[in-house]
Amino acid sequence: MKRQYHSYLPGLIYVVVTILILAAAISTQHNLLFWVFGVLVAGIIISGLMTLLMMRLLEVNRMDPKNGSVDEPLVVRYSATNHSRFLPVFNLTIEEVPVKGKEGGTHGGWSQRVSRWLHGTRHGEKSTGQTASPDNGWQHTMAHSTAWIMHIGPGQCIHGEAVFWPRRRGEVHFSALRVSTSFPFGLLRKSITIRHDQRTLIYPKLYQLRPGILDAVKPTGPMGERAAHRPGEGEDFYGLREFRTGDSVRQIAWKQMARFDQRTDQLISIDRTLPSPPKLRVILNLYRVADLLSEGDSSETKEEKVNRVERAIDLTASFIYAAHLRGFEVGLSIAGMDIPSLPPRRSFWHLARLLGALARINLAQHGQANGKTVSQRPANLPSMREKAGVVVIHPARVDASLTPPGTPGSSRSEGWHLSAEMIDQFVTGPIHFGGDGLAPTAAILAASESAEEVAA
Amino acid sequence: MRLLIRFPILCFAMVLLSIVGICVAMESVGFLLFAGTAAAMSWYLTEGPRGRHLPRWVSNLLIILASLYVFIELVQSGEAMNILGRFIVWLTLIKLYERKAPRDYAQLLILSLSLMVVGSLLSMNLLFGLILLGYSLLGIYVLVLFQLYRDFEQAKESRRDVVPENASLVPRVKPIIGPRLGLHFRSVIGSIALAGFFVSIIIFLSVPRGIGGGFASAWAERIAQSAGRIETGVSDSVDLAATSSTDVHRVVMTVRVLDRNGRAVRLPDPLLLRGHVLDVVEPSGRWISSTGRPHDRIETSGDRMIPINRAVDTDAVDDAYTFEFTLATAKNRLFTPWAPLAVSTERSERFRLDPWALTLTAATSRSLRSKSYRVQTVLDPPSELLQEIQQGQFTRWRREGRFPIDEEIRQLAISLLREAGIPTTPPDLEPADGQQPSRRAQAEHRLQWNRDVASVFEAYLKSDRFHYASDLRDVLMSADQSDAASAVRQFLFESRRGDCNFFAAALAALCHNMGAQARLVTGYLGYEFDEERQHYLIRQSNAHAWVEVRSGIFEWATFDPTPAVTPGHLASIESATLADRLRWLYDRLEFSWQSDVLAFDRSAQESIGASLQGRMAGALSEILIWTRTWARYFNQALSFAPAAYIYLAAIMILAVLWLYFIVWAIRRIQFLRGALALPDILSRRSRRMLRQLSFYLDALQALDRAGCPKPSWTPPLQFSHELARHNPTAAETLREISDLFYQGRYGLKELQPQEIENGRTLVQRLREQLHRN
Repeated sequence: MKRQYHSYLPGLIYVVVTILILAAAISTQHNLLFWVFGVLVAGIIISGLMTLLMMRLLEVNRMDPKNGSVDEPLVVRYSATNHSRFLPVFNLTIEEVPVKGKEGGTHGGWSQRVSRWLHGTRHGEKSTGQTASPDNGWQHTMAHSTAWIMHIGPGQCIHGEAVFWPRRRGEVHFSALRVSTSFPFGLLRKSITIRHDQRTLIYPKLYQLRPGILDAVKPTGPMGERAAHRPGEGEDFYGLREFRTGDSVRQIAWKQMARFDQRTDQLISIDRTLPSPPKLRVILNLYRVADLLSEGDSSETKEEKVNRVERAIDLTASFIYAAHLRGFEVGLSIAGMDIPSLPPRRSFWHLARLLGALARINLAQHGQANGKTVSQRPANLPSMREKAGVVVIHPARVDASLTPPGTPGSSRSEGWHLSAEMIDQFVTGPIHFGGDGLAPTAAILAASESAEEVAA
Repeated sequence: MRLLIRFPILCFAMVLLSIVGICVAMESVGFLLFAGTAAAMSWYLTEGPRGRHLPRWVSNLLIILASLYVFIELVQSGEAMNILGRFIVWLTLIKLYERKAPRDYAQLLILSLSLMVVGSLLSMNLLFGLILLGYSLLGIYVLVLFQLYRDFEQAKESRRDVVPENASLVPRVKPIIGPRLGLHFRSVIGSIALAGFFVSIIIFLSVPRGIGGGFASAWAERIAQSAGRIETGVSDSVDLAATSSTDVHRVVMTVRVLDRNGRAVRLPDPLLLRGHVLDVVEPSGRWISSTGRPHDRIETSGDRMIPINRAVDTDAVDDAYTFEFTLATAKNRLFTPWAPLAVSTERSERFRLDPWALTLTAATSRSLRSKSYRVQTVLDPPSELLQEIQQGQFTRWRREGRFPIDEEIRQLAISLLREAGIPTTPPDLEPADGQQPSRRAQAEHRLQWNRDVASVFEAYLKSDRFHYASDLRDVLMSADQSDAASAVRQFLFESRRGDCNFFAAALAALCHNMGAQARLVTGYLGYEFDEERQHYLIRQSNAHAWVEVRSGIFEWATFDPTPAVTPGHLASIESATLADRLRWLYDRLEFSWQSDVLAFDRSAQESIGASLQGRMAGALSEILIWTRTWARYFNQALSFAPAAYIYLAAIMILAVLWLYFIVWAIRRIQFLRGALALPDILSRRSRRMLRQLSFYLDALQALDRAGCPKPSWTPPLQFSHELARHNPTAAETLREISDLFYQGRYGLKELQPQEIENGRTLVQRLREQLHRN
C-alpha cells in the first residue's frame, strides 16, 4: 500500500494567490487582508489534514470482476469501507493502475508528465483512456472510466463501479487500484495505491447468425434430433407404468387397459421417451495460423491478418452461442492448438467454458510455438463416433482436408466448412446484451468462473 | 443528489453576495442596483426554462470592450481600486451569462474571491466585515460542494468517453452515497468552518505587523487613500481653495466625561476637541501651525496621570473633569478639550507639548501606540491656572503670520463694528485717579475688545445671510485664487456658502483685519451622546474648525461661527428613539470592529503575547505549587521521611508505565480481534482464541515490518503461496503457522501449551527468515 500526496494546477494557483495576498497585506498593513491570508492558509492546512484523516482508515477492495465480452460494457465493482468511527469520507475516486515497472512504462516523456500534472491526472493515463501499451494487463484491451463514490459514512461500506469497454478478447490482469480524494478544497490530492491481483476473461464478440444458417448446419438423420433410451417428455413410446397422481388424462393407456382384465381398477399410463437434443461440434481451424500470420498475402498488414483470425474466433463463438440458445449440445475443438477438445454438452456453465477457451487463445504465443509444426496434422480433433454435426470455421481459405478422424467419404457430406472471410454472409450484426442485468449475459456471467478456476 | 443540484444556486448566491460586498465597499448604491439586477436576471435567463446563454464570441468581445473601458477610465481617474472592483464586476456579469461547465464555475469562484479581496482593500465598514464573514462561511460550503460537483461531472465525462457513441444500455453515473449524507456533510462543513475560523484567527494574531510596511509604500498609500482608510476631516492645515468636507459617519473615537466623583456625565455644551492650532497664514491663503517655538517634553507611563506642568497641583483644582478617550485607530496626537491639566495613556508614550497652543503631539513622526488615554481638564480655567499651565510664557503676536489686510474685508468689518457700536480701533484705557493704567491693564483692556469684536463677527456669520454647505465643488471651481484673501472675499461677498473651514477662516480674517488676535483650531465637535454607554460618539464627519480669539494674556475665548450645525443635532438627541438606540448599537459594533480588528497592530500583538505569557507562567507556577503542597501533605499524613519523595516519584513512574501497558494491551486485543475476525470478545471461545492465537498477530506484524504485508482479503495459506515466489523458506514457516492458526480459529481446536509455544517459535523463525532475506 503506497500513500502519496499529489499537487496540481489549482493547488499551485491557490498557493500563488495566498502569497500575493500576504504581500498585499504586508504592504498595506490592512488587517482584513491578513485575515483573508489566515483563511487561505487555514484552507491549506485543513485540506492536508482532512485528506490524511479520511484516507487513514479506509479499506477498498475490488470485488471479483465477472467475465466480459468484446464491445460490451464490463462493470467492475469496488467495495469501500470506512473504518473511522466519526469521520465520513467524501469524493472518492477509484481507478485501476498498472504496477510500475512490471507492466510497462507508464510515465511517458516530460511533456506528458507536465500535461498530466497540469490536468491532475495520475499515473500515466488520462482517465478516459486507452494508453499505449504495456505488454500485459488491461490497458491495451480496454478503455476504462473511474469509479466515483460521493460519500461513505463512518463505519459504512459502499459499493462503487467503474465501466470498462473491452475492445479485444483475452485474459486481462488487474494488478492494482488507486484510491484518491481531493476533498475538501481540491488543493491536494491524497492517494493510496493498493496492490490487488485479479484476472478475468473477455469473451469474443458475439454476432447474430442469419436465420436459416443454424438450420442448415443442424445435423439430420441419425446425426440429428433423436430419442434417448430414457423416459421423458418426448413423443415416442417408451413403456407402460402404473398411473401416478399428476399424470395427464391423455397419458392413460385406455386401449391397453381394455385388453387387460376388466375387473382391475388400476389405471395404466404411457411413458414417453426423453428427446435428445442435436449435437453440434464446432471446429476452429487455427492449424495454419502461424503460416498465415508470418507469410500469407503480403499486401495485408499484420493487424489485418490478426483481425481475420479474430473474426474466425468471433464466428466460432457466435455459432456456439446461437446453437446453445437453440437447445443444441455444443462441443468445441480448436485445431492446431494444444487445447483439449470439449465434448458436446448443454448448460450455461458449459457455454462459459467454451467461450472461455476461445477467449484464452493467444495468437502471439501460438505463432511462436507452432512456427515449426505447421505441416503437422492437428491431433486434437474428436472422432465422429459422437454422432454430432460438424461446423469447421477457417480464418482464411477453406481447408477441406481438415475433417474429424473416422469421417467416411468426403468432408462436405459430414460437415460444413465456413470461411471467416465471408462472415457478413453468415451474420446480421453484433449482439448487444447491455452492461449489466440483462438476462443472457447475466446468465453467462453467473455461470462463468474466474480464469484461475477454469485453468485449474 | 440534492446537494449536487443545490450547487449552481449556491454558487450563484455566493457570487451575488460578493457583488453586494464590493458595492458596499465602494459605497455605491447605484452600481449595486445595476449589477445586482443584471446578476439576478442572468439566473432567470441562463437557468430558466429557456436556458439561453451568451455565445463565447460575444462574451469575449464584451470582455475586450470592458477592458478598453477600464483602461480609459484608469487613465482619466486615479481611483485604481474602485476601477478594478468595477472591472471584476463586469467580468463576473459576463461570466454569469455564459454556459457554465465546472471550469466556468471555478472562474466564477475566483472572480468572486477577487471581488472580496478588492472590497477588503477598499472598505472599513462593519457591514462589509459582516458580508465578508458570511461570504467566508458560504464560500467554504460552496467550495467543498464544488469539489463534489466537479468530480461528479468528470466521472460522467469519463464514462461518456469510454463508451462508444452507438452503444446503449450502459449504466449511468450516479452519485453513490451512504446513509445520513446530509448530516455528515453538514457536520464536516461545520467542523471545517470552525477549524478554519480558529486557525485563521491564530494566523491573524500571529503574523507579525509592521514588518515590510514600507514595501511598495507609495502604492499602498494610494490604495489606502482611495479606500478611505486614511482619516480625512481633521487636518493640520486649512486651505479654502482645496477644502473638502467628509460625510463619512464612521465613529473615530468615543469620549466619556467623568466628574470629580468618577461619574459619567453629559455636559451642557458640545465638546470641542482640539487637534491642531493654526495661527499662521501663508501667502497662498493656507492656514498652518507656527513653528519654531520651544516645546516641552512629556512622558506618560501607564494609567498614572502626568501633569502638563509639574508646577500645577492637579489635585487642588476643584472643578476638574476627566475625559476618557477611546480611539478606533491610534493617532500621532492627542485630541483634548481646552485646557488640559494632566494626561495618562494606555501605554508609555512620549509627547511634545506646545505651551502656547496647549497641544500634545507624538515625539516622533510615527503614530502613538496607545488607543485610549485620559485627560484631566478644567472647562473654564481661571487666568492664574492658565498662567501656571503655560508656565507664564507670554508669546507676542507676530505680524508676519497675520491674514493680509484686504480693503473690502476691512470695510465690511468696520461697518459691522459701527453697526454694533464698538470702536473700530482698540480703545485706550482712561487714567483712573490721575494714575496711568499699568501696561498689563492696558493689554487686558485691549483683549476684552478682541472678544467683543469677535462676538460681532460671529453673530454676523451666523445670521441667515450665510448658509452651511458641504458640497462646494461649484464654489471651488469658480474660486479666484489671485491672492491670499480671495477665497475669503469670495465667501463673504459672493457665494456666502461654505463649510466650517470657510466660516472659521472668515471670522479669523475679519478679526485679523481689525487687529484682533485670532487663530484657527481644527478638531472634532462632540455632541452625540450614547445614553446607554454614557459616552460621546465622535464620528469622522464631526471634524470641525472654529476660532479662538485671545481674550486674556493667557486666555483664549472660543468662537464657533458655523451656523446651525450643532443645535439641530443636539435637539434631535434630546429624546433617544429606538432608531437612535439601534444606530448606537451599530456604532458600537462598528467601533469595536475598527478598533479591535482593523486597527490591530504590533502593540496589540505585544500586549496579547505578554498577557498569554503571564497567564501561562501563572498556570505553570500554580501547578508546581499545588504539586508541592500535595506531596508535602501526603508525606506528612503518612509520616514519611523526606526520602518518601523518591518513593512517590517511583510510584508515579510505575503508574505511567502501567497506564502505557494497559493502552498497549487494549490496542493489541483490538488488532487481534480484527485479525481473527471475531464477532465478539465476551464469549468463552473468543477469549480462548484471543489468548491462544496471539502468535498469529505477531506473524502478521513480522510480515508487515519486513515490507510484505498480508492483504486482508488474502487467506494466510494463499499468502504463503505468494510469498513462496520471493522467500520459499519463510513461506514454508508461514504455512506451518497458518495450519496452526486454522486449527485454532476455524477447527475450533483448543491448542495445547506445546502447540502455542511451537507457534511462537515459528514466528521467531519467520522473523529471522524474513530478516535474512
